[in-house]
Amino acid sequence: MEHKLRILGMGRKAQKNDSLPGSLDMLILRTLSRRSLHGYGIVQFLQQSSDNELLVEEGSLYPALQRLELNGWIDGVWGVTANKRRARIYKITAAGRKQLTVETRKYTKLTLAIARVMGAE
Amino acid sequence: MNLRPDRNDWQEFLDEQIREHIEHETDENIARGMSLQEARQAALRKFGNVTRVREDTRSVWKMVWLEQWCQDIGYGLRLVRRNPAFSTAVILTLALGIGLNSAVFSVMDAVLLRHISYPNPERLVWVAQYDTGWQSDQDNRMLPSDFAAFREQTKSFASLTAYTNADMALNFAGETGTERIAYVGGDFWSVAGVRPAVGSLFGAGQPRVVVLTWELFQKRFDGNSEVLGKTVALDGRQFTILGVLPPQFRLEFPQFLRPNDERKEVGAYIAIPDETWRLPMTAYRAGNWEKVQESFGPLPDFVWIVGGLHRGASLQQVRAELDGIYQRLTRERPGIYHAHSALRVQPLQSKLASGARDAFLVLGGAVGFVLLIVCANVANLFLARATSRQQEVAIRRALGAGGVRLIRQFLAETTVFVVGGGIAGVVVARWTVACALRFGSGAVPRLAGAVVDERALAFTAGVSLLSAVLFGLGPAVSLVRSTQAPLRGKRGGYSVASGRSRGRTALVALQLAMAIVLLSGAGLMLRSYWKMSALPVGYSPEKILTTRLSLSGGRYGSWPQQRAYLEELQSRLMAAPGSQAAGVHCGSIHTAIQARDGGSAPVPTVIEYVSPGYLQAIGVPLLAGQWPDDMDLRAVIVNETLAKSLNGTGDLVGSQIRAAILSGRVAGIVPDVKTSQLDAEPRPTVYAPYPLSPHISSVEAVLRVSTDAAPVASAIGRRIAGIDPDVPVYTMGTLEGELAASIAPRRFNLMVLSSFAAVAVLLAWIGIYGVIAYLVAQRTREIGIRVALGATRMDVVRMVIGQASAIVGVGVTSGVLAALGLSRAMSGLLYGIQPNDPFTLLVAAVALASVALLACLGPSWRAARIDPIAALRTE
Repeated sequence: MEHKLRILGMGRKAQKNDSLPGSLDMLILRTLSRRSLHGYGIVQFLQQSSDNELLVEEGSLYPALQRLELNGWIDGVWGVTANKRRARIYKITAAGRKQLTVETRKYTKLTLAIARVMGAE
Repeated sequence: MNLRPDRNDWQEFLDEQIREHIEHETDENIARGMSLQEARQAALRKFGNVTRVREDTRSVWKMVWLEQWCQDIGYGLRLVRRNPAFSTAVILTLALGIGLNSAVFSVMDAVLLRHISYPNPERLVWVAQYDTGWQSDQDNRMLPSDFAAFREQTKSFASLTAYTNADMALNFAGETGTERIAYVGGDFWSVAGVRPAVGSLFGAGQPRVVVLTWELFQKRFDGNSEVLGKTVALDGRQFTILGVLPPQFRLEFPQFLRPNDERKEVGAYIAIPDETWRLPMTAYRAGNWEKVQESFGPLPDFVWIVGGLHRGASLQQVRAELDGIYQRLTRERPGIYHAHSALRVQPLQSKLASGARDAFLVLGGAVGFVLLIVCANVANLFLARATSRQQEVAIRRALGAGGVRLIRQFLAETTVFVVGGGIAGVVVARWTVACALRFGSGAVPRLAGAVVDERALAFTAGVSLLSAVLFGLGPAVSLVRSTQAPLRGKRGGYSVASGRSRGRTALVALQLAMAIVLLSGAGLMLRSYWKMSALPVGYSPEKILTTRLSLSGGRYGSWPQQRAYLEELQSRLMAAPGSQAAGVHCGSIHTAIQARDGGSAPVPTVIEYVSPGYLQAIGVPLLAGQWPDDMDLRAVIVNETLAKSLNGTGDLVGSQIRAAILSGRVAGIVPDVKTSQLDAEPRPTVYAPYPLSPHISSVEAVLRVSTDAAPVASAIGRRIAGIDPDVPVYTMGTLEGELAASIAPRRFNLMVLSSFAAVAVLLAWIGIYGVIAYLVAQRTREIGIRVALGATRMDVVRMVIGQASAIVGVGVTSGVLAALGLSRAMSGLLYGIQPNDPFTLLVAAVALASVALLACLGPSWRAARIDPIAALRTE
């Protein structure tokens, strides 16, 4: 049985699987900072980049995208994908890049703290 | 540039994205080797619950929604502050509409609609007697023997109670004060459905015990329950305190009030002694009554009767029953009390409401009008504002604001007004009811119980605020929709505006019409009031002092003692400095008078028992004959109305008249006199010597002084009180005050209606000002062109005023027509004036028209100063 890390979005309670609430925003921003993608593409990228360790709940992706867009950190435009399908493609904004740095810093602090606890006697 | 999506867009986007996402996954699965169906199912499964995703997304939006709402409210508040004139107008209008109207509803409710708090109020029935000949709308009390007969012989009543009230001197622990005491008999306690808070209630006829009200218990006895079993003196007689009633218990039946009695709550209750029911008719004759009181204690001479019907009995049944009994009584015992009288049996609730019904129907109509005017005003104000923001909305739309978002913002702004207006309305309502209580409670029955009624407040608030929302949003919605296309010039706005402006001008015309109706109603009442206050020549009530006192108690049980007191009273009055004439009035009786020679039919008459100085003190001149001598007990004076009824042409002076209890020679004729009720019709009256009065307990003393009576009133009062300190002097005032008090209900109605009219005029003023200002703004371009083409300022002003006059003309004309139609409803409230009085209508129309045209001066002046270049440039 694979213990995949399921990333849960907002509005869902933590389930029996492990989860890192709040990190979805950061991951999406990071993904989009590399290149602009549509929703499905973001899911695929995260899966592939993490070597199938991170399985994004598709259901939580779209609320997260909505939130990011409302806060002005990403911009969505309609475009056409490689398969000639119409899709909404998101790109990160300048404000979004700033937010990414903030989130990354927060996350790093958290993991360092956890590592210290785990490393201590 | 792509605008940020709004909520509807996002729904679309989301659905499409989800669809695409699933398609993508399906493609991948097909590439992995699944069949089309399998691929699709796997993709759907992987995605998860589509509905839940949509809901989750929507909930993101909800949080944002709340944020935006707070933003909008903040913006609305800022807007309110930035446009103080508009905001004040709206909030004032709403406050007046909600506040005034719910105040009047509350008052109406207290007086007209509020139910009696006793159990089964709908089964309570009022039984009273009235004179078929004269003043047939006035109820008179009944004899105790009537009550006894009813109790024995009727079957329709489950309970029957008799009561009356009297003001007595209550002496406890050395302190005396005047309290209103209620005599109650029969099943009073069970009809009232009350249990004592302390102690117990007396049984029927229990002698020499008293039950206190809670309020009196607190005021005079400090709420100390040790007083149970102690005695108090009521008019000199000892009564034991048996119990105390619960707080807020009131005698909700009509009280017995003489014309200058003040309205007061009953302080304590005593039982009608059993002997009362068995008294023979002779006991009521002159001289006997005091003996009766001496042997049995204080007895009521007349009573009011209220009965509770059996569950199955109907009003017709009980009416028929009572009429039968009463006719039998009249036949068996002909006498003064049963001549020309009939029974009036009606539900108690309608009796309680009857005095005020006309007035409050009219006032209810006034309320309705003002409410309509308020809604029209609010509508106008919001419409005006919406149009002036046309440009702003168009720009914002072009910059990417969503239509829904804008409408939500308008809604938030409207909410600020609605909430502000609502709060202000509550404040106005409370304050208005407090004012009404202060100025009106002497005049209007049961007003004292009025509080701001929540239902009324909710109703008027609901109506007004709903109209605010409608008119705040309506134009906003149409505005937003109409500016879908990019900015257009005002020309595009014209066609929309002209349609809307017709609506607005119609609204203002409607406001003016209703204001006219209210104004003319108030004017009619004002003129009635004026006519009533006009007094006959030679009569100066401010120089006449009047006071009432009560000769009761053991010390005044018999005639010699009473005469001694009264003679001392009159001599002290005459000895007062500046006195010109003095007299006493010792009771009156309704009966029928006939000329001695028996030629004419008996005329229903009032006999007033007075001293000779009384008429002179009031200032009534003699029309014929001469003043009788003090000692002449057979000489009487009659008034004009009686003289006319008895003997059209011949001279009545010197002839004999008689009635069941009186016969005498007519010594003189006097004109009709209004001493108590200003709005009463003159009745045939005989003035007979007071020693003949059947019972002298309540005495009115009158003194005419050469100077203004008010300053010396208290000094004279002290002198009178000096005769016997145990006889308290009850009311001490000028006749002027008494007369004014008699028309106090009308004065109250007048005040209320006038304030409504004033509010209506104010609102109409605001309305027309707003509309004309708006019309001028609409025609700015046109005016600019005209001025550029050579029109003078006067031409512009004339144009604006011309347009305004058309609106005012239509409004005023339709208002006058409406007033003509509706004023008939007021005829019950008027005195000496026709409802269709043309003068009043004319004055109202002219007044309102001038006010309206004055309101146009401001905008027309501003129109005249329009700079044509600026006007044309605003495109």
